[in-house]
Amino acid sequence: MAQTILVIDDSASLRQVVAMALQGAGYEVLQAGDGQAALALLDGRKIHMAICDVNMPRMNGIEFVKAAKALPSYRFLPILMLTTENQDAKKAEGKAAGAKAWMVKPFVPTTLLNAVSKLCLP
Amino acid sequence: MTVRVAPGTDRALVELVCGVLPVWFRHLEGSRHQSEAAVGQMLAAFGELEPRLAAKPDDAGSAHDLTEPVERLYQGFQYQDRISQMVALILQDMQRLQQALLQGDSSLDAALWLARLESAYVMADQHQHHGSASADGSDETTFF
Repeated sequence: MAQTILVIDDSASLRQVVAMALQGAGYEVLQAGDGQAALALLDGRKIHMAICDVNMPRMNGIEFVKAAKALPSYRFLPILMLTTENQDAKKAEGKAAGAKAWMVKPFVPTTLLNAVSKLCLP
Repeated sequence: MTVRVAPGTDRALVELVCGVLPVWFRHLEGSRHQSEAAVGQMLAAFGELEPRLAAKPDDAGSAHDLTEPVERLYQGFQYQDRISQMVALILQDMQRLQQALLQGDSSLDAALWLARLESAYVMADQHQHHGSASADGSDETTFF
């Protein structure tokens, strides 16, 4: 059975590009437009990994990571931050919140897929 | 539209506008340039892909790898997101100036205004357009 990856980004076109890359490699993809919409999808279903933007309306990526990690069923969910931000201070915030990796957009599909295969839960 | 500017703000306003407009201009010009470059990149990648896709399986060279041009297409598609973020920030700043003027804000200061704009940057490109040094950071993937 394919692994499911939750993609969270307020840019629909970016979500589509990420989804295309993941689906092409055999992953199933769920999409959410912000952290709050993503949290609503953490309803007990099996999710193997999340890929999350940082700057989003309503609930940003760092807030989402903290909220997801507070849910017992998703405490070990690996989360990769995929963002235009590259400052070390922001990366430290992501790490402190519980993210597992930080990738700067625009991403190269091979690099994203390598990171996903490294982080995705079995 | 008639805009009333509070007395005493004219000089500060001129300084502000003279300071802010060139920065807005560089941001928009940079965004336009990135947009053109992204489309150019995608067209070039498509130009490389097309003959390879059209080649019959037994044609010489048909085994050319499609990965590299496809990856450049993927990267090109993502520039919309970057450009959208850059332009959105400038539009917000324009609205902020409009509100300040309509409210007769007498504390308009070009340096403070630009510092506040700069504090909202998230990309190295934005700092470059502004003419300032970007914060420390690398585009390499980081695993924690």
